[in-house]
Amino acid sequence: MPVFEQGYRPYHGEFSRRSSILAMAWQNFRPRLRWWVWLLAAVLLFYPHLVWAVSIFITNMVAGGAGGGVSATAASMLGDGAGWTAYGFGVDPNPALVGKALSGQSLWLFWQILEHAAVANIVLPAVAAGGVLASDRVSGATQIYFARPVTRLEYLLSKILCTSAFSFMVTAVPLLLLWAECAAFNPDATFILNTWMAPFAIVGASALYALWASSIVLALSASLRRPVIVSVCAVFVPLLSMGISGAIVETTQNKMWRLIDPTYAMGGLTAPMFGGELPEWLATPWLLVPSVVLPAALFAFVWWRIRAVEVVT
Amino acid sequence: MDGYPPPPVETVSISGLVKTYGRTRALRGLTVDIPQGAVGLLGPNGAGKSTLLKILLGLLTADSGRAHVLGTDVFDDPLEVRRKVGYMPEVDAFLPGLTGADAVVFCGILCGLPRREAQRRAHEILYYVGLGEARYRRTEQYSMGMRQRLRLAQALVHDPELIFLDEPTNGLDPDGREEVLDLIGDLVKTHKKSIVLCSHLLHDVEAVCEHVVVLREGEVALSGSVAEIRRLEQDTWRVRIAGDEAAFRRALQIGRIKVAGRDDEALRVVVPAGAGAPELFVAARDSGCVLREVSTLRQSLESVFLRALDIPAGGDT
Repeated sequence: MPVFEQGYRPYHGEFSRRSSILAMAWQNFRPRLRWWVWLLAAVLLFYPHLVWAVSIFITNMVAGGAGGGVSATAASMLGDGAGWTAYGFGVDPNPALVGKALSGQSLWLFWQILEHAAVANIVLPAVAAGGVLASDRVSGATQIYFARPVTRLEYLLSKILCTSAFSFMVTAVPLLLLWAECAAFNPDATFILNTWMAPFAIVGASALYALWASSIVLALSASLRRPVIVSVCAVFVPLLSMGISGAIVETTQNKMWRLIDPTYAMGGLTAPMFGGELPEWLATPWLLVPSVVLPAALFAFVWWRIRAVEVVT
Repeated sequence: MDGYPPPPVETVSISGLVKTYGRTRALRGLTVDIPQGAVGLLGPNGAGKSTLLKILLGLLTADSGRAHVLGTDVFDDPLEVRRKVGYMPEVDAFLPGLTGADAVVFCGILCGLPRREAQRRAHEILYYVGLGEARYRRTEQYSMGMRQRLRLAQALVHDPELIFLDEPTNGLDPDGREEVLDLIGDLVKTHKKSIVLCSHLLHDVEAVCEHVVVLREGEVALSGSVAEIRRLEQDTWRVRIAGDEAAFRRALQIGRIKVAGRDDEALRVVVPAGAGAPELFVAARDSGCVLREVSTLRQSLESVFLRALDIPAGGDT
């Protein structure tokens, strides 16, 4: 008779006291990896990647044709004043940035891809993990967690990790891939030496983007019961803020209102990580309100909501 | 039984527990000791059963009072309590997207079992509760009865000493209900587990439990072993006479026997402790009546429950 058909048997083994945050996060993440999530992630992941890859390819072609090598061509494409002021917010992909990135002189390429992924950054967590809290409440799974040695903080962190993982799929993963490609195919051996901080900047900035997206998705998921509504609202929030921001700036001619736009708020927060300087109108403590204070407040709200859910078990 | 450490005499000890929700006092200085073995927790809606379970699991804090579960203070170390205790919730609870086996493995991991051990035990327990064949199906496809068994499996996976079962037979057909009750009975009798069975179905409590605690408005209305409670009730007799009923009643009164009521043509009488049928024959002889029927009434737990709550028989519980 197989051992599992021998009836109830006592357990004499060890019990681990380690936190089960990772196990919970994985258990939330894994079932949500449906085929359409992969498809969406691929589109969101490869869209900026593809654009820049084509730019790199063209640059290389030009370099090959000129016979001066990649770095030389890149340097020739830089032009004067190629930096924040020239290639700042709202500027479309610029081959000069690609040149700088390839020659290891600047990390702005990575930053600009990240800035362009600001909306995609919330789309995937919203669509794939919109029900991460709402489903638990509807299915009664909250009781499964809280009737076991799981604290509220562990529960919340596991949910943040789950939504952040989806965010990373469209921010950190493609950027790290891009940096790895640049490093692997660059004939200049000093590239890695010049850009060793890039992976750290990418992961750090992506983490900030992920926390921002997670705060919105989790706050909505903790308030609404239907995951579809959560997804729609979460995608709508940044689009709405971008629209409002643009309208106010047009009306008042005051650029400060750009802070409402998450691409500017998060871009401004993460720019220094890539060695950039903020324009004067953006270098203000008010930048922290939409990028840090708001997510923190939303997490506090989620924390409070989890307690409320816990009580009604 | 080998392999099981001797549990403490009292699995749950509660002293002066007070819990208020706004102006509503859910628990009013509740003091009770729940012994090891199978204990039924009874009470009408709003009696404080769910609040009590939540407090014992460390999900709620009390306004005052102390509570210990298996010797651990629930307010000082709620996580330790949850490690030792298994909980089967009343309402439907499942993890979407998981198979039955995955769901039980996950609960084992949450309780601190190594993954490999959790997998081994999950399969064992699923066979034990009768879900062996369905363990690779997604939990969303389970019937109500299967989900009920799954919840029981999730509560058992880490081999807890004490299991809280909240309405474990809700939504089950009669056969399924008997099977679940048999499982619970097996856990108590064969595997020496302690359970606290919270149920509205007195039949379930009567079938499994050795001890009952009846709550009413946040206080203990009755607590004791089922055998003791039944013994108290064994002094009720059903008596049918032929002759002058008024004279018979007077004779009963002289013998300190109370008439508790009437069932059709028969009287329900309560004899004092140590007395019995002979006293009834004496009363019949003294009153010139003939006894047509004398029998003890086997009281169900329901009648005790209703009496503890001051609800007339047939009333809404």
